[in-house]
Amino acid sequence: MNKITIINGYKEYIKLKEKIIILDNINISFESEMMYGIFGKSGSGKTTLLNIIGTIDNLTSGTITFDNQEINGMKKDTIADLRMQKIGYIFQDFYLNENLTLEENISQPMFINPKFNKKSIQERSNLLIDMVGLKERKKHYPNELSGGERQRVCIARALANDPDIILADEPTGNLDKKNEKIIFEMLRKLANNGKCVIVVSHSNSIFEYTNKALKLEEGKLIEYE
Amino acid sequence: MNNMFFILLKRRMKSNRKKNIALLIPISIILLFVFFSNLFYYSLEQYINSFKNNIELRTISIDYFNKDNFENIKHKIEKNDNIKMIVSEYERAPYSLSYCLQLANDNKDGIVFLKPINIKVCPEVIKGRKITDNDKYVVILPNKIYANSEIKDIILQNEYTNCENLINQEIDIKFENDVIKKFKVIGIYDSEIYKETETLYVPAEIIKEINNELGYTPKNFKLEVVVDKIENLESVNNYIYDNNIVEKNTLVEEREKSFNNDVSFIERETINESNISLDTFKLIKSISYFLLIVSIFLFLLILLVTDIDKVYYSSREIGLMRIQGYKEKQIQLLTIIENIIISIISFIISLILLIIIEKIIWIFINNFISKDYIGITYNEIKNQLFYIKDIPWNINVINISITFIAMILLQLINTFIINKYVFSKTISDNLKMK
Repeated sequence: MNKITIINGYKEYIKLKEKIIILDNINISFESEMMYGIFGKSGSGKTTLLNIIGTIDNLTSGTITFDNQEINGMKKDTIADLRMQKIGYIFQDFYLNENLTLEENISQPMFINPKFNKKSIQERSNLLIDMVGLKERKKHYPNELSGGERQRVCIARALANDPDIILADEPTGNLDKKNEKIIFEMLRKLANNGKCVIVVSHSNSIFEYTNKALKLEEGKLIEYE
Repeated sequence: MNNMFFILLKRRMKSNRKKNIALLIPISIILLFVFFSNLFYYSLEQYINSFKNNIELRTISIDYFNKDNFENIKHKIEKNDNIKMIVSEYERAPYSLSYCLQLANDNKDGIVFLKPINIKVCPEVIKGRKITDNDKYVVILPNKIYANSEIKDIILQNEYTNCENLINQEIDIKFENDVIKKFKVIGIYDSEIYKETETLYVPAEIIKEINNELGYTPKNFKLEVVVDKIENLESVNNYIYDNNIVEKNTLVEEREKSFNNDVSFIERETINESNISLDTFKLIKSISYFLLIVSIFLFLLILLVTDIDKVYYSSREIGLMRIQGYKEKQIQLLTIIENIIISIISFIISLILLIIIEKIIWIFINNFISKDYIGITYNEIKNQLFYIKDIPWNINVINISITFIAMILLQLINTFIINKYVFSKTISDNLKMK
C-alpha cells in the first residue's frame, strides 16, 4: 500500500531575487515494509525532499498524499495530528533536549497522544529503551551518551507513537562505521516490521539495507533498484 | 488542562531552568525599580497633599489697626468664591498664648497656642468630633503635643505628651492674671499631618469672650483668610489688592511705622512660602512622576526583550515539538504559563527585596538622618518641606496589585505574539533559529 505519494512535486526558493529550483517534477510513491535511500551531491535538495515528506516544509506546487489523504489544504492542526500519529523523524544533529533524561526525551511525543496515559507512557518508554539497548542509561542525560547512543535514543523517540513512516536525515553523519552499522540495521529491522523507512545518507553502506535507492540530481529524482 | 499537561509543564520548566533562572534576575531588578518609583511617587503625593491641606499654608494673614474697619474688610473679602472662611478678629500674640497645665512636660507649665476655629475650617479629627457652632468651652488637641517654653523657638525634643487618652475629659487652660478656664476635649487631630504640636483649636467666640473678660484691648488685629485650596492663594491675594481692600505693604517694618495709622497690609510670608512650596512640590512631583514613567517603560522593554530572547532560545525546541505533532495551541499554553510562572516568581522576589530594603532605609533614616522632631511652624515650612522622616513611606497595595495584573497580561500578550511569529516560520526554519 502506498503510504506517501508525491505528484508533480516542485519546490523553489527565491534568494536575492534569484529563483533557485530545488525539486522539479517529482513523482514518487513510498510504500510500507520498504526502506528507501536518498542520495546525491551536497545541496541537491535531499533534506528538502525529506522535510516535505515529513510535512515540515511545503511544496511550491504539486500534491502530496498520506494514505490517499491530500495534505494540500489540510488544516494545521490536522497536519499536526498526522505528524504525531504517522511520522517519526530522526536527525543528523539528534536534536535531543539536553536538560531532559533519555527516558524523558523518548516519552515526550507520547504526552499529546490521547491513547496514552501516564502508566502506558512509562511502559512504552521502557519497551523502546530496551529495544535500542539502553536500559542501563535511561536516567542519563544526552551529554553523558556517545554519538551512537544518542542516535539510538532518537530512533526510540521517533518510534514513540508507533508511526507508519520513519524519516531519517543523515542519521549516521556524525557516527563511526561501527555505530553506523548498528543504526542502519535498526532501521532495516523497522522496515521489516512494516514501516516505511526513508533515509537520506551520504554513506554508500546504506545500499546494503535499502530496497530502493533514489538519486536527486538537479532537482530530478532517479530511481535505482 | 489535565494531569499530562502539568507533567509537560514541569518538564518544560526543568528543561529551561538555567535560562529561566537567568531571566529572573533582570525581571526582578526592573520590578524592584518599578516598586520603588511607585513608592516614592505615591508617598510624596500623600505628603504633599497633607501639606496642601494644612490650614497654615492656605491662610492669608491681614494685619490692620482700626477695629471699625474690620466688618468692612471682612464683607469685601467674603465676596470671593475661593474663601473658605475668615477667622474672626483676634489679637496677635501674646494674647493667644495660654498655659495648659495638664499638657506640660516635667511639671513645668507648657505654653500652647489657642487658635480660633469654627465648623467651616477645622482640622480632620482622628478621634472624637469637630467643633460645631453651638460649642462653647470645648477644645481639639493634637495627638502629640509639645508644649514649649518659648514662643518662637521650637526646641527639638524626644518626648512629647500623648493626648489621645484625654478625649472627653476636661483640661485646665490658664491665662494671664491666673485666670483658669476648663475646656472639654472633644476631638483629637493628627499632629503629624497638620504639622502642629502646640496649637489647640477652640471656638472663635470663646477667644473673644476671654479677651473681653481679661480686658484685653488689642493694639492691632489680625484677619486670617483661609482659602479653599492652596493653589488659589495667589489669586485671592491679588483679589484683595486689586479691589483695594488693603493697601500694598510688604515689609514688616512698615507695620511699626503704621502703628498709629490706619494702614492695613497683608503679611507676605505665607504666600511666599506657599508659592515656594507649590513650585517645589511641582518639581519634586515631576521628578518622581518621570522616574515612575521611566521605570514602567523599562519594565515593558525588559519583559519584551526577555520574552523574545526566551522564545528564540527555545525556538528549536518548539520546532521539535511541532515535528512531534504538538499543536500551536498546546505550545502557546505551555510557554505562556511557563513565562507567567517565571514572572510571578520574579514578582515575589522583588516584593520581598522591597520590604527588606524599605526597612533598611527606614532604620537608616531614623538613626542617621533625621532628628526626632515632629512639629513645625509655618514660618519654618520651607526648611522642613522634605523632612524624610515625615513622609509616609507606605507600600500602596492597590498599585502593587495593578502592577501584578499588568505584568501577567503583558506576559500573556508578549509570549502569544512572539510565538505567533515563530509559528509563522516553517518547522525547518524553527530548527535553524538561534
